[in-house]
Amino acid sequence: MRLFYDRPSVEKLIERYHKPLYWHIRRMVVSHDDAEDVLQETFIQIFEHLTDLKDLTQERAWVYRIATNEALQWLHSRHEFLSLEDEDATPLINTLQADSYTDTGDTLVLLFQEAVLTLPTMQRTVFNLRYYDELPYEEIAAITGSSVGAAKTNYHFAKEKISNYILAHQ
Amino acid sequence: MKQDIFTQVGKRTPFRTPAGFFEKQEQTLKDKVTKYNVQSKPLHRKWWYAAAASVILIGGIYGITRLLVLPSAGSDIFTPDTAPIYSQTSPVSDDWSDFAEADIFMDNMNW
Repeated sequence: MRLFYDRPSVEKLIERYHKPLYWHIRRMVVSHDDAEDVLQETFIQIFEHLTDLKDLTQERAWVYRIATNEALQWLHSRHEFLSLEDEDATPLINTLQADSYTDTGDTLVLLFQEAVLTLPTMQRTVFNLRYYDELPYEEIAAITGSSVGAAKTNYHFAKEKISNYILAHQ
Repeated sequence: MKQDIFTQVGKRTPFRTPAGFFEKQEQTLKDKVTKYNVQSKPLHRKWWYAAAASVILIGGIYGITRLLVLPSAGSDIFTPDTAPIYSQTSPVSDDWSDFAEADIFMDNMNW
C-alpha cells in the first residue's frame, strides 16, 4: 500500500502527454501554429495547477481537461474576435484548407475532417476523444464535465452526422 | 454503408507537422515552463520590493513633513512659551509665594 503518492513533475507530464495533447488540440483548433501556442499555454496551466492533482488515477483526464479547456477558450476568443456564431464551422474549414500543414491530397480524409468540424463543439470534443484518442466514456465524461450517458449519446449523434455529411458531399 | 466511411478513413487525418517537430517540441515545452517558472518568481519579489519601498517613502515623507514644514497659525509645536515658568507649574503654597515675593534674588531675576 502506498502511503505517499509521487506527484509527477511537469517534465514527466510533458514527456508523457506532449504528443497526444498536441493532436487533441490540433483537432480542436485546426491550425498547426495555433495548436502549438495552445499546447504551450496548456503546459503552463498544468505547471501552475499541479498541486490540484490529488487523485493520480485521474492524471490523464486531468491533463486532457486542461488541454480541452484551453482549446475551447482559444476557439471562443477567436470566435468573439471574428464575431461569428458559436457553431459556425466555416472559419475552421477555411483554416483546414488554408493551413500550410494540411495534407489536401486525400480528398476523402479531408472531407471526413470537414465533417468533424461541422459538429457542435461538445459533440466534436467527445468524438475526437473517443474516436482518435480511444478514451473510455468515464474519462470523456470527466474531461467534458458531463455524464457517461451524455458522452455516449454525443458520440452516437456525432457519427450519424459525419456519415450524413459525407453522403451529402461525396 | 454508414459504417464504411469509418472503416475506410480509419484514424487518418489531413493534419501534418513540420519535419522533426516532436523531437524539438518536448525540449521547447520544458524550456518554456522553466523560463515561466524563473520569470514568475522575480515578479513576486518585485512586488515585495515595491511594497517595502512604498512604506519607506511614505514614512520618509511623513517624517520630513513633521520636521520641516512650517506649522500652521493654530499650531503650537514650535511656538516659544512666553508665560513665566512658574505659572506653568503647580500652584505653590502661600508660604512659598510669600517667600518668592520677598526674595530679592527672585525679584531681580528676569523671568
